[in-house]
Amino acid sequence: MVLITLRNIRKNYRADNLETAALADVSLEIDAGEFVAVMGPSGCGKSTLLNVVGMIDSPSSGDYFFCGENVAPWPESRLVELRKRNLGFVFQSFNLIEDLTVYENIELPLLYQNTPRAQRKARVREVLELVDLLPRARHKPAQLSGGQQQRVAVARAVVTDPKLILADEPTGNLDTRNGEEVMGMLDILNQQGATVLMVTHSHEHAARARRIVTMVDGRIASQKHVPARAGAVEAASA
Amino acid sequence: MLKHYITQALRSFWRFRVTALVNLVGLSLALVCFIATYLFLDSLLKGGDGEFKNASRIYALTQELWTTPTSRMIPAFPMAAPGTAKYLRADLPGVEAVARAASRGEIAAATEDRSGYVFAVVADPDFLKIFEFETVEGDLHDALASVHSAVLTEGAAMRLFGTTSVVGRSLLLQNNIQVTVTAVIHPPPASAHMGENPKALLRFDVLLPMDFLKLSPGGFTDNPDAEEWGNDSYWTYVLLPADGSVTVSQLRETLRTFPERHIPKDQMLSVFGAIPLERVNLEMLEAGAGNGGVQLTTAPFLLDALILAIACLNYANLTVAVATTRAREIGMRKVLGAGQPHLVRQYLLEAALLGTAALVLVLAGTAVAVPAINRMLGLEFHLAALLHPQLWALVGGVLAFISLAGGAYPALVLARVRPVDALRSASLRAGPRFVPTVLVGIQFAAASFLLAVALLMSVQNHLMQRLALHPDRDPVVAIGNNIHEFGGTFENLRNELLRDSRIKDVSAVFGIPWQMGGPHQHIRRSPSSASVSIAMLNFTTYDLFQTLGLRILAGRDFDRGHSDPIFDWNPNAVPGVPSVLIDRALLRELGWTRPEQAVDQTIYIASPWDPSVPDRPLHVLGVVDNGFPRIVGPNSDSNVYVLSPMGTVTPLVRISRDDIPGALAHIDAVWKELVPKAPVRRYFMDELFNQAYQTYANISAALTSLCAFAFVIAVMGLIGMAVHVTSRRLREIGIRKTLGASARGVVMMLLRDFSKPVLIANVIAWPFAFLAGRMYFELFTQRATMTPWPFVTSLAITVAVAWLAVGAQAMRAAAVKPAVVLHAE
Repeated sequence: MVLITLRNIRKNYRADNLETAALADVSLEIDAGEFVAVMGPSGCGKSTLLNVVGMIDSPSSGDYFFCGENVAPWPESRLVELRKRNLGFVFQSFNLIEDLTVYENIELPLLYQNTPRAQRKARVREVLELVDLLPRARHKPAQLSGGQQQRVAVARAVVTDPKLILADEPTGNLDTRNGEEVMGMLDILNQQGATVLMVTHSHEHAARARRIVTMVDGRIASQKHVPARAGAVEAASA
Repeated sequence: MLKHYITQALRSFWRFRVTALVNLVGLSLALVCFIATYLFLDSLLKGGDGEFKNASRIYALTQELWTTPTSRMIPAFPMAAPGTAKYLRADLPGVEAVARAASRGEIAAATEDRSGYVFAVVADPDFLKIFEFETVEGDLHDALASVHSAVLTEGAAMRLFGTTSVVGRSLLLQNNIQVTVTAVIHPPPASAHMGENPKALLRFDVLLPMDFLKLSPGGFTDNPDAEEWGNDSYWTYVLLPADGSVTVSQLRETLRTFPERHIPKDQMLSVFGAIPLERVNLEMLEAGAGNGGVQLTTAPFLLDALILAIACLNYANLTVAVATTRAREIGMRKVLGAGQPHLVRQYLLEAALLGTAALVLVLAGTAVAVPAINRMLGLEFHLAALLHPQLWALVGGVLAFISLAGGAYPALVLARVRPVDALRSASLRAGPRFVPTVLVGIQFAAASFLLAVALLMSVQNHLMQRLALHPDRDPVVAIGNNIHEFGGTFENLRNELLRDSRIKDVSAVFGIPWQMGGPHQHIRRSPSSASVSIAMLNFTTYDLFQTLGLRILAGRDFDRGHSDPIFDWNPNAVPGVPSVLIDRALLRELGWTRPEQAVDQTIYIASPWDPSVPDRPLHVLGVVDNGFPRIVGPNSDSNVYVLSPMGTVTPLVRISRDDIPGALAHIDAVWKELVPKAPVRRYFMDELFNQAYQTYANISAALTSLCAFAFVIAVMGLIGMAVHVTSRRLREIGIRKTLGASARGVVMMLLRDFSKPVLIANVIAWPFAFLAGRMYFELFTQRATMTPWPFVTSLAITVAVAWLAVGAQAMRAAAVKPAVVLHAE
């Protein structure tokens, strides 16, 4: 089933009478359950593509179908509802809220969905166990290592059981070991049915995806399907 | 979700605690203003008058006097003409009681072995039925039935007799009237409008029957049966029946049509009303201020609202400034599903929490500080007022305003920030660039308005003090006793006083100097002139202007050698056209430009409300400078002076400043010789001025305090803005310094940028301050001239304060090392 369809998406930025095309006629389809990596040089529009797909930025023109609905013209108030129920985000710089504890950071999306208290509590515990951070529930982000913070970010991204996980260079600020851990989690989530769209500079991490989309100058230059890696899941869980 | 909002708010306050403290202080100051105003008005409104047993059923009548249907001469003081009570009893037989009371002033009182002075009030018998005073001894039923009866307060009884068991004993009043004590009462509550309190509007130690006036004439209250509808000097009270058979609406309707039933057409137009007893103190103040467009109960709250608006603008500005540094968090919340309502609720709740914290702080401080403030300032704030539902309703309204006004702007602005923009940069601009500048500008405009008005008030107040207090001149002493009451004559007193060279001049007026009030008259230049001026008619004797140090500008003063015709209310009682002097203010109002033009002219007392009444001529003997000792009062700017025996009631004595004690001793000795049984009551004119002026000094002090509050809040806001703005401009400053800018140049650049909104704001405030200042000036009989200096001074002070506030921050920013900031970027 096709989850996402982008048709002729353009995204322009205007500064002092100069217009720059961050995305130029991008068309792309992503099936439900796919793991897609987006690569390309700096400034090619990878993050912009991710932002548009993640509905946190709106295209200048073109159509964006999510689950068959064209959401491109939707106002922010409708997008926020769609976003919070269907999408999860993982950022390079974690973007945890400093004033909140680990538990509260993960709980936040459920609060915005008005999830009842008992249900929230159970679900947060579940994902804390999933990322192996239950003992750190009361800690603040500043008290965690980079890898731990990113695990919290991953936990927060999946706590609402989203259809689509968007990861913008999730391992960019991590060392190799922690990066592997995070990639392993994304693998598992994908195995469990979540669609993953990941921006990365790392060829090694991109190879974990099923399809690699390469962008240059705001356009999709190429798309390549990656054969499944044998033992990939076992390696991630080790 | 509420728990999350509260947790987030508290942690945010802690993280940005300096900003939170700045906001807390600002909001607290604003709340202090509201609560202080409420307590002050409560002390006026709920003074002891509410403690009278029948208070809820007692109403005081008011009477306005109008020259024409569109020109009001006297506002609605809570007093009425003497005949009002009689006719009202007939119109409304269902009321339980109607009674009058009138002040007789301070009179001499003596027993067998003691003497002194008492403040006397004459009253109808039903006065004791309306106000059920608590008795110490005796029975109030018929206590004022006989013209020779007297009811003493407990304090008066102790002073005069040394005991309160005095029913049946005799008292000699005014050296010649014997009365018998019929009852002794506990005094009314200290803050009631009547009683022993020196500040009471109807001050009394002894109550006498109304007919006592006929035994001892002197003054407007001479004849209580007179049909003098322009003489609104009687307190007139109505007690409505407990069964509700006559309501206040019926009373007011009866009063509305009262004039057409009872007042002859040739009398001035009157409008009657009725106010609840508890409002008497306040209505007296309102009437004294002319019953202007903005009521005294409203005006302070308007000023408080101004302070609150400044505090809320401050809050909004600082919150946005802080929030823009939390851009990533806001962006992330939106990414995670926070909609606009979530963010709006978050910021409104933060504003409400801070407002509540400010409220708790202020209430706790008030509970601790009120007793001390009462002691220090002689006020009557009631702590119990802090429990009033009305106060909580006011506070609730204020908190709601803080939440909405203070929290709405950041809430709405930040809620509109796009998530991608917030995530992309560590800080962002929320809302239009000019808004923070405008908000700071508005704060400073309000503060500058208050400062300019405070300076203008100070100019007026200094003028009054300069005109009233003459440290370089011989002092003037007013004698409070009326010698006629003791069988003496003013001329005799004068001659005896002038035997001593330390006595320079002796004259007299009617009434104690610096008191408000007196008879107003309509004056015009000819009977056919449509233009009429309202002036105060002052009863005087010879040498008044010399005594007061007022210069004769043209013509001459009253002179014994010329036998100048005197003035009597009855034009047929004395031959000839009365001679008068007019002051410079009346000269101008009558259309003359030079004093000489008015000399030997005839002016007329007119009755514009009844053209059939002929004008009464007056011959202008001379023109005197402004400066009659009167501070304020409606239509009290200009004066006409007449010679009259009534003008000998209050002797004024100018004494040599070279030997003040000696002069005073001579006055005392002369008085003792002439009136051995009654000690002299004398006051320096300066003392009388200070007493009368106290209210305006307090108002000025209150406004200055408000101004200081406003500046503190605005300055804190400016400092907060400066901190955020300079931190955002550090990179720019680093680049400028790399390109050759000096630290001094950077400081001047920053100071200029911060000063611009402050300068513009101050100038914008000028027209509003001008209008407010002019309204204040017009309260006074002698007005200061409006000059540019208060405005220029306010500008200089405002800019200086702004520079001081941001100077340190500007210097810190200018000292930054370019390599550090550019490397960090």
